[in-house]
Amino acid sequence: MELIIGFIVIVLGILGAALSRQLTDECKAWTPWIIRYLINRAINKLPDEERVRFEEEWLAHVNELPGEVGKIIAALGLLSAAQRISLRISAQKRRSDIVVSIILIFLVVPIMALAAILIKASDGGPTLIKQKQTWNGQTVSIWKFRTENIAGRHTLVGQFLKRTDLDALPTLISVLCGDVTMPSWPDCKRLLRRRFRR
Amino acid sequence: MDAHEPRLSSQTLRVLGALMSSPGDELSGAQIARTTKLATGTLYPILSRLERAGWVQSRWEDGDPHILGRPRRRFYLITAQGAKNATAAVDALQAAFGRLAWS
Repeated sequence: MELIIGFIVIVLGILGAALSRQLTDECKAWTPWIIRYLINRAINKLPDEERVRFEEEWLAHVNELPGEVGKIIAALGLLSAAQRISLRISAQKRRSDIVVSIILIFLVVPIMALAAILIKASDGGPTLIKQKQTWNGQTVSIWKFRTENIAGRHTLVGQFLKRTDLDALPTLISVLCGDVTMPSWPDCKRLLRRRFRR
Repeated sequence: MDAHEPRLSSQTLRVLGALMSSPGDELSGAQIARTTKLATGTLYPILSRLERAGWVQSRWEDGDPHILGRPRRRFYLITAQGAKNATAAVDALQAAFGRLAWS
């Protein structure tokens, strides 16, 4: 009987050792994938302009660490880092959006007033409309000057506003309300280049 | 305090201390984490805040990631303004604690 128990213990020991070895190998094989997944999740929380920088920096950080567990713990921490960085940047962006949109509204208010009077005078309908647009992957409602009549045709004033993009001036109100954000300076340059190539 | 100036928590002071302990030396995020014993979730928001405030500057490691065979590290260096502000903050803290101790 003792011989059988001894034999079972030896077999279980061998099986346990083989299984733990297998588990260790599995963990080692999966670690790079887990780290990459966690860093990708963290990067996706950041604003677009910060992603490339932090992706390489954080991969390098994790790469410098010894031990698989330490790497995973560091990568987990990056999720919270990304959340905190993103919250701070969006708060700063909101502050700058408010200041910039107020200054721009103040500068273009005579043009907006004139456009509103002309739209009202053309057919008596509402001057502003709320248009649904996709902005950073989200559907948002933004203010625009009405360019079409009730039949869905462009009015004379509407044609002019559309051609000059002045119909989009009330979007500044949407920026001030926080529905959308001001494009970054590189995006502004790209939009302007595209606008004047037309 | 200016809205863009970083809040001087004990963790922020530890990061500044690590960067000031070897003036002129650049440290990667992992090296700062090792020195300060701060977790990545705490360290990077602090570094990002210090960099935006101009207390710290950073640059990429020289070399191409393809040649290096790994991602490039980002090195952090305390600026003259950062060193001045950090020293002033520590002096103010010491003065305040001194007053507390003797009042």
